Amino acid sequence: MLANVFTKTIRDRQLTILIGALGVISVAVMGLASYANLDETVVELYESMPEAFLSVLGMSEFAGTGSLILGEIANLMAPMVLGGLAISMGTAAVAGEERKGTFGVLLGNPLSRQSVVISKSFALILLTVVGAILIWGGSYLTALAFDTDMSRLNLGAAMVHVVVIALFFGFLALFLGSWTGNGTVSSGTSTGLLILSFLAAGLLPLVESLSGLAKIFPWYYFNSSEPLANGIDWGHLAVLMGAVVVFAVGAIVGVNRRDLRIGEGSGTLVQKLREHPMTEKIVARLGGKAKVSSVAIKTASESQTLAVVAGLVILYTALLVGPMYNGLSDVLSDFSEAIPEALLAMIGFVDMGTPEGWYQTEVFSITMPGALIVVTAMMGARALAGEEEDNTMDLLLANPIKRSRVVIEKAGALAIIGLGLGFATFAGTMAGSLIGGLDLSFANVAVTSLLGALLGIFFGYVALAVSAGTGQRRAAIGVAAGLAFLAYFANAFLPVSATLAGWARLSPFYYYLGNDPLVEGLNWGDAAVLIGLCVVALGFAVFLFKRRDVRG
Amino acid sequence: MSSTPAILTEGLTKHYGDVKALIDLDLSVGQGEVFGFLGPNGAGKTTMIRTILDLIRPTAGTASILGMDSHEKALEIRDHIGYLPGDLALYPKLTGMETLRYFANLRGGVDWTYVDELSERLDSDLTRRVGDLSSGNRQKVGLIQAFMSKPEVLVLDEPSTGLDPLVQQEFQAILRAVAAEGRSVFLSSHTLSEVERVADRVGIIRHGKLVVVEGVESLKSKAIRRLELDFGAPVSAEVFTNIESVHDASAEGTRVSVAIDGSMTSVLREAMAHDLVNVENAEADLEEIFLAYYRDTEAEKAVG
Repeated sequence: MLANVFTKTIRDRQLTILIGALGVISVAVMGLASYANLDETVVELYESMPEAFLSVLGMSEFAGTGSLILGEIANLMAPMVLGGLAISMGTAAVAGEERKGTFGVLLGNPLSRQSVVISKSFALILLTVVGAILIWGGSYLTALAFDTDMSRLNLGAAMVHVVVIALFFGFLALFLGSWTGNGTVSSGTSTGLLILSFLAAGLLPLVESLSGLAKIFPWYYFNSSEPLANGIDWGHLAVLMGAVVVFAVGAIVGVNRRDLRIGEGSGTLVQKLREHPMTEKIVARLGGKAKVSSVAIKTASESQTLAVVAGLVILYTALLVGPMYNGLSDVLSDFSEAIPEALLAMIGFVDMGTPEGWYQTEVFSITMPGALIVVTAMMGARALAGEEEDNTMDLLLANPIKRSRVVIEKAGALAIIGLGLGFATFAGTMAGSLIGGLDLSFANVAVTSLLGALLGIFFGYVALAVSAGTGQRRAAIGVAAGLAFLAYFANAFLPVSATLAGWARLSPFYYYLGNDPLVEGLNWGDAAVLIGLCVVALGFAVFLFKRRDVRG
Repeated sequence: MSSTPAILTEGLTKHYGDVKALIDLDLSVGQGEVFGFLGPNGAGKTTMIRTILDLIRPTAGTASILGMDSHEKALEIRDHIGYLPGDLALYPKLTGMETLRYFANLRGGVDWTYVDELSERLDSDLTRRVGDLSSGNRQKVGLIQAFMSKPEVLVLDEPSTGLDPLVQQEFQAILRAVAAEGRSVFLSSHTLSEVERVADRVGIIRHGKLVVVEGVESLKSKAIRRLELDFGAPVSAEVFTNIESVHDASAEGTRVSVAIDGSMTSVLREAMAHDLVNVENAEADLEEIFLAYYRDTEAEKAVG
């Protein structure tokens, strides 16, 4: 596998692709299992669903029981997961090698920059195709196993579209990385555009005057033709493939005309902003002065920039959602009335016609835990594995400080940041509620924010425990994010089926929103379970780190 | 010198799966001693150091520092040691000063006038971010943090890496001052020349085994040294092979390479008889020291 750049890239990434594909397939299994016994209900529900809603899912016509789940797989999960992995590979190809300082060694061999980019491009294409085939095969077999009606579904065509949209974003990242040599710019911009274009292509068509605008987003060419129902749209694919070719050629031009960087000194986006005279002061204030009085304080101070940004995102969303409710309340209550109660429960939504339901949908169900878990999982992973990978752990532990105290101080920093973000959610929501005159219960919002913070801290401690056990940052982030992802979908899908509903209690998400804390207030049992989970995960982290050889 | 050894290992063994990184290592370093731990890359030097510091755990055997078990008393030990890792990495976003403040805080404070003195002697800039420093300047920050708490035992893994000759001399002067105060230094290196100027005794490790522990002088006398002699005109190697102390000699053009095992006088006298242009003293090769050591022990066995 180390024969050349192409095979080495495959070797480095094959496991990630396999895990990503298995994650998507496991969602298919949970979803199809939950829906398996609901044939007739689903038909009824489907027919009563508003068209706008179906267009977001990329399924405007009913095409059998499996279409909801497989639609979610082909239109959301698979492109997000494969697109994300493609971005990560595209970024690693040039900018990643530069950051690791390995590009110089690589190019010390008789290889041109161009040949490296081309080899890595082919590896990116092959891995994306393999990932799509795995997801396609896995979902297909799952559907067969649950006797899902697939006669009107064109899963293969949908997966072809998935490959092309994933390549679009992967090559965009490669292009940006090749021109800038900066991994943060490359992956940040590409991921941002991925999410933005998904939302824009889904939501813009709902507003008639804006529907034309959707065409400027790549996602439009991915699924506006509804490939799952209608098969491949060659015209749309040609647009995306054309862009891929442009990015690939652009990447080669970019990497050839530039001075290559070595190692870390060349820095991240934040570092650049920190050095630029215009942004210097703002960034310094945002990041704060480096604080070194203890392990906990240093750890918290290192994550300050990330936490402040995540906090502002949450605060801003929560603040805006309040006044928006007033403008939209008519539409929302129509929307909610049009969808039968059962369906709302089924897709994990609550009644959006009430302020609580609106806030839960817009802030508490995804935005807040998502932003929080991103921050805590990264902190948990970095806490121990990061120091080991950066080779600073030896030096830290040579000081008179116990290993268990290192873990606990770092866990403390993580908890402070988690609770801080919980407070940002609370403050933003209360302010939004006040401005919008929504009259949300102060106590219930506080309780829900706290439960959300505990949930985020738990997944952070999962990352910390994996980080403590393995010393590998990527494994820690992967396990925590994967677990959060599965837990989220387990809690969203399993309650649909009466026989499987009890299993939702295995998901930590159940103890967060399962008992409707925005309406019902504090359920002590839920809080106790979440705190217990945190303690157990932290206990594992301490236990695992104490007994292990530190990587050096 | 107190009777408790600064560092003591008994049967210290570390396996990584099938790889035997350390095999049955018995070693004692006295207090107030500067001990050079010598071995080629991958011989097990860093593994040994990381084991006695409880960063990794031995497969068998024990280690103690100042009489305290390296695992049971890991925390207490760290109050008494200063450590410089090989392949030093620091926090790139902190300045040198912030780095030192962090470690000083973890130790409950240090003598800052001593830090200033060290910084001045090593000519180190503590105001810049560590990530922007060259590797030599980063190494200085690492050295200051190891010395700043005036520890009783200093464990330094390849400390001279990246330092220029002037700074190396200053560093060696600091080491001698430490030893003069009765504190101990355990210093690893892969070249004899680096440790011979400061160490009292030297241990040589090879393939995870401690091959020899000897005084620096006696080790140097056993070492085969290599002289490179440049002449104005080609000189035959045979001119030198007959001299008693010459181990072997070879000629290439006007350059003759002579391996010497003992006194240099007769070699130089013979060289002066020709048109000698230049003399270079090549670094004693560790492998040659091993061979010399083995040869001697084999010879002793034959005699005995």
